Amino acid sequence: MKRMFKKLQITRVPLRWKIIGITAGVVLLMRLTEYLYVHTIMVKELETEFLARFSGIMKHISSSITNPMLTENTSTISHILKETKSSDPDILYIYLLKDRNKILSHTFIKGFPIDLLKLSDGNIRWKTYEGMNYISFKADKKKIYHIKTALPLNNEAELHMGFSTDYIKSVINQINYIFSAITLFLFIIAIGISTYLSSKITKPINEIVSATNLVGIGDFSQRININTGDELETLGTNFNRMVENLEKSKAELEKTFEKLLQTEKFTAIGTLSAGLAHELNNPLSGIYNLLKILKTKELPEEKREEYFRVIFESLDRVQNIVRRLLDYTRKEDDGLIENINIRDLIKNSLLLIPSTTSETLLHFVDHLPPSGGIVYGNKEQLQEVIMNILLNALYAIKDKPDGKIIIEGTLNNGMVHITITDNGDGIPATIKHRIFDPFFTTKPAGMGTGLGLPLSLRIIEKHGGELYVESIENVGTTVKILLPVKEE
Amino acid sequence: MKIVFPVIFLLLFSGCKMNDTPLEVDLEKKVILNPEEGNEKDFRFGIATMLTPSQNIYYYAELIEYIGRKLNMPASMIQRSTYSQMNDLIKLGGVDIAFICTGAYIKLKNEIPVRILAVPVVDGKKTYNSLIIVRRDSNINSFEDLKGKSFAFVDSLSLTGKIYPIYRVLKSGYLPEMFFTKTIFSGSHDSSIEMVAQGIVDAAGVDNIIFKYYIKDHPEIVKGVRIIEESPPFGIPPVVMKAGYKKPLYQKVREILINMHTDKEGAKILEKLHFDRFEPPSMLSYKNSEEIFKFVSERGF
Repeated sequence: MKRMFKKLQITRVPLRWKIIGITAGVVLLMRLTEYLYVHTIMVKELETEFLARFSGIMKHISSSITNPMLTENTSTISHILKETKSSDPDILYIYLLKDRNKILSHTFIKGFPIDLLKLSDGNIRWKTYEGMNYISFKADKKKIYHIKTALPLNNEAELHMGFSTDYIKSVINQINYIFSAITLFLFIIAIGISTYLSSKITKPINEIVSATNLVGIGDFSQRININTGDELETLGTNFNRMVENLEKSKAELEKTFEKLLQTEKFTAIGTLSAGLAHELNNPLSGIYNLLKILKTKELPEEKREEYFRVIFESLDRVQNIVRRLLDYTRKEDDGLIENINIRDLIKNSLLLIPSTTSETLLHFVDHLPPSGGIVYGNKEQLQEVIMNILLNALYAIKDKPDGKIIIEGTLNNGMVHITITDNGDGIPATIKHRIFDPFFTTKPAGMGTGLGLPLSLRIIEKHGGELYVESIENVGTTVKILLPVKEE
Repeated sequence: MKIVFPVIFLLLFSGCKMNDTPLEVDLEKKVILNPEEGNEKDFRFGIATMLTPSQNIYYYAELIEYIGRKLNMPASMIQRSTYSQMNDLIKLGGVDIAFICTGAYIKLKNEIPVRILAVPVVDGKKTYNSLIIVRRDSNINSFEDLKGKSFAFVDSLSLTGKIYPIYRVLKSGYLPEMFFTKTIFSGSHDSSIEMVAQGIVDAAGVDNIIFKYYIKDHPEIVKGVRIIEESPPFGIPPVVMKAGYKKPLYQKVREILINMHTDKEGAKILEKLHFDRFEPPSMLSYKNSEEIFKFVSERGF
C-alpha cells in the first residue's frame, strides 16, 4: 500500500485530501460492487425469470395448438401464433417446424428468415430449462433468446419462439441509472461530510504544524488552543507544556552561559594577573620613588614639574590599566547590541596584554578599511573571543624564544576576517576533534577551564559568523574568525 | 492519482457489455417457403373427430401403426376439425381409408360411391346408440324436460350427437330453435360429455361406444352425468374408402382389419378400443339411420 502511494507520488498529499480521497474511494468501491452485482447475479436472475415467463407461454401455445395441429387446422394455428405474438412485445417471432426444415406456420411478415433453420442443424449446443431447450444469439447486434419445445403427440414437430432482451436491458439500465444517481448523491454527500470532518481534524493539526515550525526556529512564545475534546486536544496541551519547559530550559541555559562567560573571564584575568601586576608595579614603583625624591630633596622647579608630570603620566597609565580591566571583567550588560569597530576591538584587546610581551611578540597587520570594519553585536562577548584566542596563542608560544603572534584584520566579501596565527606547538592531530568540546583542556589545572573555544564558537555563531581552527603540530595554529559587516 | 479516478469513473458509469454470444443469425434474409407436400407413398388413414384429436391419437394411433406395419409402408393418421372436412378429404383423395361416423357416411354415400371395408363389432353387435345425457344432479328426467334447456351437439354430421337429438325434437312437434334455449357444437363426443359434467350445457347427445371409453378411462367425469334416454340401435360407424380408388389397398387393408383379432398384437389394440373384432359389412343395416338423416335434412337441419 505504502509502495503504491509512493508510486502514485501521493505521499505529499495533505491529510485532508487523503481523507476525502479515501471516502470517495469507498463510495466508488460500493458502486463497483453494485455494478458487478447487477451485471452478474441480477442479469442471471432476470434471464431465468424471462425464461420462466416464456417457457410458460410456450407451454400454453403448445397445448393450444395440439388439436389444430392434429387436424392440420393451419388457420387456427396461425391465428394462435399471431395472437400470442401480439400479446407480448418482447416476443419477436414464433414458428412451427417439422422434420427440422419444414416450416408449418410462422409469424414473420414477407417470408421466413432462412438463416433460422441453421439453429436446427444439430451442431448447436442447446441449454435446457424445464424440459425446454434454449440458446441465445445475436441478430443485427441485438441479443435474442430462442426457445424451442417438441409438441406432444406431434413428436416430429417443434415450436420455436424468439424473444428480445430489450426488457432485461431496460431494467438493467434503469437500475444502473438509479444506482448511479444514488452513488452521485452519496458521492457529493460523502465528499461534503469528509471535507467538513477532515477540516475539523486537520485544522488543529495544521495549527500544531505551524507552531512547531516556529518553535523549530527558536520562537518559544508559541501556544496553541485546541478544544476538540479528543486526542488532538491532549496533543495540544502536551505541546504547550513541552514548549513551556523548552522556554524555561532555554532561559536557564542562557543564564548558565552567562555564568560560564564570567568564569572564563576571571580565568583569563588569572592568566593575565602576573603580567598586570608587573605592569602596575612599574609605574607605581616609579611614582613611589619620585614621590620619595620630592619629599626628601629640594629640587629645582623644573625638575619638580617634570617629576610631577611623570607621576601624573604614570598614574594615568595605572588608571588606564585598571579601567580596561574593569571594563573587561564587567558583567555583560544584558546583551547590549551596538556597532563595534573591529580595529578598536583588536587594539583594546592588545592593550590588555602586558606591554613587555605585546611589543616583542604581537604584530597587528591592519588591512581593515579606514572605518575599521563595523560589526553589529555584543562588544564584551566579541572581545572575550579575541582575548581567549590571544591568550591561547600566548600560552602556545610561552616557551619559544622566537615565539610570534600575528593578528591580521581584513575585509572580504562583506565579512570581517580576523586571523590570529602563532608559531607555537600546534594542536596534536589526536585531539584536534575535541578542541570545541566543553571542559576539554590541555592546560594544567587552574590555568584553563576548557570553555574558551566552545564559548568563542558559540558567540561567533550567535553573531552570524564563523570560526575555524587550522593547526599543524610543531608548526603553529591559525584561528580564523569571520563576522558579517553591518550593512549601511 | 490523476489517472485512477477517471478510470474508476469510466468503469462505473459506462454501460459495458457482458455475455457475448458468438452465434449470429440473420433475420433479414427472408424466403417464401413452399407449403409442405404430403407423401403420396404413405398409407393415409383418416379418423373423423368423434373424439378430440389428441384423444383420437391415444385410441387410434396404435391401430394405424399396426396396419402400416402389416402393409409394410409408412402409415400416417390424418384428422380434420369436422366430419364434413374429413368427407371432403375422402372425396379429394387426401386419405386412402377413413373411419367415419355413421352420419358422415350417409352424407358421403349420398354424394359419391363409397365402399365399406369393415365395421367394428362392439359387445357382439354391429350397432351403436345415441345417449342423451344430463348432469347427474339436474332435474331433467326425460327428453321432454329438455325444453328450455341448453344442448351440445357434436358435429353437423354426427348421427348420435346431432341428427338423432334434432330428429327427437322435430318428432315432438317442436323446432329445435324453439325447443332449446341455446345450442353449441362441441366438436367431439368426449367434449360433449365433459361440457355436461361441468354444467356448461344442460344436456348432450353422445355415442354410446365413446361413452363406454369414458366409463373405463375417465370414471370421475362419467360420475357427473346421467343418461336420460337411449336411441334405438343404428348401424355402427364404418371404415370406408372411395369406390374404385386404390383397389389393391382395399383388399389388403380389409384382410388386415378382419383378421386383426387373430393375432396377439391386433387383439390387444382391439381391446383398448373396446372392439371385439372387425367384420365385413354383411348383415348390416343403415336403414333407420338413413331415414332419420333424410327426415332431418329435409327439414333443413
